Amino acid sequence: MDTLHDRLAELADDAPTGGAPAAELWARGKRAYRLRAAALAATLLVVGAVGTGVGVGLVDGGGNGSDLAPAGTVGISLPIEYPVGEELPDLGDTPGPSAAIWLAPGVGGGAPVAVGLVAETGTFGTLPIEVSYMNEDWERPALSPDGRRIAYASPSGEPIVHDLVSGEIYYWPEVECPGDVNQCYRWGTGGFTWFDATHLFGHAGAGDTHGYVWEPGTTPKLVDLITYAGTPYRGLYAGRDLQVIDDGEPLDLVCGSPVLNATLGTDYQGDDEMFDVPVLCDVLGVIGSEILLGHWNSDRVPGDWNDPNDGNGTVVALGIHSVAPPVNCLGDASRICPDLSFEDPALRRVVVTAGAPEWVTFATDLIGAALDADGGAS
Amino acid sequence: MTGYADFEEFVVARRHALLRTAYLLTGDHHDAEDLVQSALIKVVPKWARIKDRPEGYVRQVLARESVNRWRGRRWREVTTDVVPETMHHDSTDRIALLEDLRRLSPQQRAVLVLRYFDDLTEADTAAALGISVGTVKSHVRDALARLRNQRSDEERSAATT
Repeated sequence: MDTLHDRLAELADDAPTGGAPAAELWARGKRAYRLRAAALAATLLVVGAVGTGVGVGLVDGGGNGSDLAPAGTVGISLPIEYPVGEELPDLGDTPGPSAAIWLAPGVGGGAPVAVGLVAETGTFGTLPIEVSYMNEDWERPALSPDGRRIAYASPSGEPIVHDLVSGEIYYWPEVECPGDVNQCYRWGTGGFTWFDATHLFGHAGAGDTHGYVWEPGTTPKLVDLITYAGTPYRGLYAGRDLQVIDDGEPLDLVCGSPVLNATLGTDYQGDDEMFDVPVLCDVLGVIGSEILLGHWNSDRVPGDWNDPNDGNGTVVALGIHSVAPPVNCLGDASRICPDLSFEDPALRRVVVTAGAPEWVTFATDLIGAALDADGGAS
Repeated sequence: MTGYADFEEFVVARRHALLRTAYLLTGDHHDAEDLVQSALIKVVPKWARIKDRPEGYVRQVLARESVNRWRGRRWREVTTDVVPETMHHDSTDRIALLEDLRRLSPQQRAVLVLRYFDDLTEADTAAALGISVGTVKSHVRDALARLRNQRSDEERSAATT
């Protein structure tokens, strides 16, 4: 037993041999698919409905028992030019809704800071949240679509929500456990997804079936994400494993896969056609059902599409509804299938210019409103 | 959704191989079974698209799921001041390797398993995990270094007792 391969193979001999029958797995997969399809369709309807109301001003989360957000216009314009290298003011506890927040290196190589863009004024500044321990992509804070609330995990995994309008901070050091201790997880350590302005989701429990849902004025409650009505069900990356509907099926956008790529669009009927969507491998936000935000990687180097350090901070809005599949790439596992349709300027809008930090999260409703003000993005 | 016969054939033929990989990824029998089961359930909606060559995609789901799951359960790892008494020799090499793998980060472990057990290339490993080739290289380098250091520490500890 000299090589690592040999030692691993010997260790693998201890692997279990059991498992549920294939028929049961098939049935469960079909059931999960049906439920996800229904939930995702509901999600897109709700997101679309919320998006239509944002263009006239900032909206409150609604029905949450906390302070109302002040009405006002979206003071940002696109593209956003991040103030690289500038010393930024402290925005305090109640700066108002943010259009975006970045995790940025401190000036002079200091500890990382959270930088917010105040939606009403267009002012950049530092936010009062601790981010120095956030080293992984999934640890970045989640900004609600209306820009009012930031969700993130403490260093030990407890969820924290900071309300940028009221200054309230919500914190849950203890969560209920769904029985078996092996099924009990803290819900902050897997990242967060804001389904809408007032519903925060975090995964918990074994696999991807359990999660917590929180809305202002309530305590977090454990739910089955498969069956919970309204679940966004976008995967464990806090919204970054995007699913889109194709011919009635929700599909993962799998990046760089040599086998399965994604089919985009809600009306495309060619089930057998698949194609790469390289720039979408780092999905930063979803606006309605037709616009995605992502880093623009013009190099399109295989394997680097998901690397937050690869790129120069440029963020683009991509209209996906009218994207046409270029070619069928399924037959060649080694190829990189170019999707030239994304080169069409009509389908690509620059949201953030080059030079901004890579780690960014957007208030998608507010960015959507700014896109509308600039003439739409799709 | 069609193709159950193909799915069943794949499960029967490949489940054990998937379980072997999953066991190395998780280090636990129950977790390995659960991981494989979860991955197979996840690919069902996509089966019509991948049925001609499902192995790569299933393994990709398996690897990513193993890393994702750890993200929600890292609190279970417990640090201790007590040095384990177990010393590793040839007869306990499996236990030693299992413990060494557990001490790696999930992504390092996944990279190591995909590269050195499943024999994927660096590019395929990167694609499977959704990371860059550079990250794969650095994980391999760091993981091998940690394995070497862990074994050296154990051998030193054994020599002094």
